[in-house]
Amino acid sequence: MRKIGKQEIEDIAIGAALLGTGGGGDPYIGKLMALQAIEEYGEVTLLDVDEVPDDALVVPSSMMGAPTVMLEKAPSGEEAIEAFQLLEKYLGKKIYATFPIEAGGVNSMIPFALAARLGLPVIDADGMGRAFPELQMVTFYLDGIPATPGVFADEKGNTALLSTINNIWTERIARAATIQMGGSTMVAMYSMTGKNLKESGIRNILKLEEEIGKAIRFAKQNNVNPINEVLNKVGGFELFRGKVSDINRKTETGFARGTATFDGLNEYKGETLKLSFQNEHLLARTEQRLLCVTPDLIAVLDAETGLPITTEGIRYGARCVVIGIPCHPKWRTEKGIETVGPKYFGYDVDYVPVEELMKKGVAL
Amino acid sequence: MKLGIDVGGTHTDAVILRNDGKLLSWKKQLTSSDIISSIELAAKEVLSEAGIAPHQIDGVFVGTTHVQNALYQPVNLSKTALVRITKKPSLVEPAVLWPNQIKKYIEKVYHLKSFYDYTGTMSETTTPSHDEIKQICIDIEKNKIESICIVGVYSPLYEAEEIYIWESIKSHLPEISITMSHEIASIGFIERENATLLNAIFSKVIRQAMIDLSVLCKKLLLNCPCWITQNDGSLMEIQEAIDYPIFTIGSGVTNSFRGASILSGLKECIVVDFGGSTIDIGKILNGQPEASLGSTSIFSIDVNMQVPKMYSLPYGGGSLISVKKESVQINETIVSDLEQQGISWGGNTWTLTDSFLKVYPGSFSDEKMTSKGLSKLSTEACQKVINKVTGEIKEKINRLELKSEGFPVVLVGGGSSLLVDRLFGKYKKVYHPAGHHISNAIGACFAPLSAKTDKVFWLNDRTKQEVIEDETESLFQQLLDKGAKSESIELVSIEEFPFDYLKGEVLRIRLKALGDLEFG
Repeated sequence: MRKIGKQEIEDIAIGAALLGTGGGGDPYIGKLMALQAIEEYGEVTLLDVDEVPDDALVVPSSMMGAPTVMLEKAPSGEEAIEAFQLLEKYLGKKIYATFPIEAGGVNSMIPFALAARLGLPVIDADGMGRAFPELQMVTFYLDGIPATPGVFADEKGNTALLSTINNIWTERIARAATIQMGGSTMVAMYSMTGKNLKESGIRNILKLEEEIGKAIRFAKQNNVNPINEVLNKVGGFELFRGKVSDINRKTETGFARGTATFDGLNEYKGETLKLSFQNEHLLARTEQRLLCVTPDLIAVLDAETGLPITTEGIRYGARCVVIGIPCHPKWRTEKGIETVGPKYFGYDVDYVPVEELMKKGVAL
Repeated sequence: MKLGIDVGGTHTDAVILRNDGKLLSWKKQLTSSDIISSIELAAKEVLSEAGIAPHQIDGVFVGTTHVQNALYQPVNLSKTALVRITKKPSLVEPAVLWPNQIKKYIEKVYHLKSFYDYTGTMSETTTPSHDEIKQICIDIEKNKIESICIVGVYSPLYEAEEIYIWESIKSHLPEISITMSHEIASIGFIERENATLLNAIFSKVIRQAMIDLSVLCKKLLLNCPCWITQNDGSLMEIQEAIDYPIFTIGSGVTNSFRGASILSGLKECIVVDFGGSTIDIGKILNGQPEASLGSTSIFSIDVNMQVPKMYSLPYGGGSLISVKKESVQINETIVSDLEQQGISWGGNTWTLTDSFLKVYPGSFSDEKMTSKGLSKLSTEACQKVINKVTGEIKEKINRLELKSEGFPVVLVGGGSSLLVDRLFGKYKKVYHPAGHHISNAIGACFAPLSAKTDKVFWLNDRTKQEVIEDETESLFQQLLDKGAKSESIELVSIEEFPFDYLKGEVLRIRLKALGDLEFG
């Protein structure tokens, strides 16, 4: 058990942007909400998973919908509280603690903003170890934990309690309702027991995010290379170094989908990297080789500062280092690959773990 | 004939150009604290030297770093009230991460309830009541507020709510300066609010100077239009500069980049502006200064408005050099007058310029210079200073380049002579055009008119193409109204931003059109 204050929030936000692998929404507004809540209500208690009783009711808190819209709405914070209250009333049980549903982006910050106001602890675990776009893309789903009964709430005061036949339906109904409710909602789904979380959650993810953020901060202060520090922390691989030479976003579907091309620098000179993204970076390959593919993590970092760059932030001429990080073993199962592997996102390649790709390379 | 004026932190330059671009005369003055008396002096001298009568001038073009300077030495800032229009008071309070010396100018925050939804349907029929607004106005008067800032949720989609509140307040307080957020920045409530607040807080800074400028033009019998250059390097009228001071924050440096392009004749280049207190490095693409994309920060305040894309090194020709623990340091403090205090001019202050002149004595000279004092400086230490400066400039140039073969580099600014032949040797084309020291004032004379839109649209009843066509038509009309030559008007950029994680047909579109000023 330890306390999370403002500096920890700043560090976690940087780590969250990195594990967000280009998506998940810029943690900016979430960070402001968390900082403000800590300013008003004091530091937040962070629990290790093992400190949570097996029978405790624990509920992740997150936003759903377009982070861009949330950036405009500037949530009041009441939405998330109302969602928790309705869920408690329905289940007839007090919520013991909250935690992030995903490690990446804005959703890594929401639990802190809520926990500070409700005086709840936050648990150091999540359901992805990264960011993914859909509700069923969590390790809890792989272990058969239902998303519902769950609640989503908007800033107008509407709350909706949902009970579905499976998590795919939860995604369909909640997504459609979220659009109606103003483009983004606050969500309290995948309520579970402490025992569930111990078995199905990804542990120590906030600690990892904080260490990533710290490493980047210290590297800057001490004038050392941040990329190596980050790679050491996450056990990752440098996939490529290059300059963005082309960026192609298709907007017809209303989804941030596209590819970015990097011209190699230094030892990668003469090679080009193509990075495909759909909200998150999902596939990295050169003309000859596959380098890294979802669910393994692909992050694009500023070559100088080591700070992560989102898909929206990729600009012509930016000098970047693209890194690959092995995903949690839970994703490397048959059901995991089926849920979040390359085929699900429409890429016709087979999943091969990044460390194997690094060893021998797979010709395309 | 054009009269171009650049009001910098230390110097005010004036130039007279023929409409075909030929330089007729130029003058340099130390900038006075009121700015206007140095403009008057420079303008008078440059007119008389060219032998031009005031009525022959077709336009006056002014660039200024006045607002930018006010950020660093907060003077004449306004006590500001913020009116927030949201569904419910947001968890995030205004100006959360602001530095205190600016935050303290936000005197009052009022909340009004928004009657809009993001779909544009009015979700509630009750608009804020007249009594509610009247109460706010009474409170504003009581607290001696000088400036008001209105920020409504979703105003980049629907501006009517902000306009409604603006009109209501104006009916009670007709004199007070009011900024509406939809005129300042786009989607992203907090960053738009920050930019709008800054604009309101700066509302007094430029007002007096602009009013004085109008008076001065009349006094000098300059009965032509007078323009101010803004962040993106295009022109705005004096009244616009008074209403939107925040848009002039990058005025000086974009002029310099444009001037470098004009002087060198290059439509694509990297520009290094070596000034007295900073070295600014930027890029010209298609003859226009490149703008930043996405969010940026002004004085560590996050804002989502466009500013010139550039790197600014925190030192220039007048920066002090010191040696601490055997390491050479370039300090951010600068001498107040290099030509009095610099060692190369007989003073006893070791500056960055002196370091260059020690190692490369022939870089430039004027009659007041003396090399006597330089002998006591260590050549090795001076070489270290030079290596640091050229190394950092090269690194920034590298970051701005798209392809490894790269763009030519144009050197401008008072200190640019020091850099000639020092950057790349024969590996890269480097230009040092005549007129490099008055690049800002010349650039101002070539600034185009611009019109832009940055809004969010629902594509329910229109296609994307129809939205773009409608908006383009309205931009072209705005340019004609401002006095652009119709054949010069063109749409220079179309950017689209989808809303991630939302499969609906909602799209943010940013368009910009430019046109040249019609003369005669």
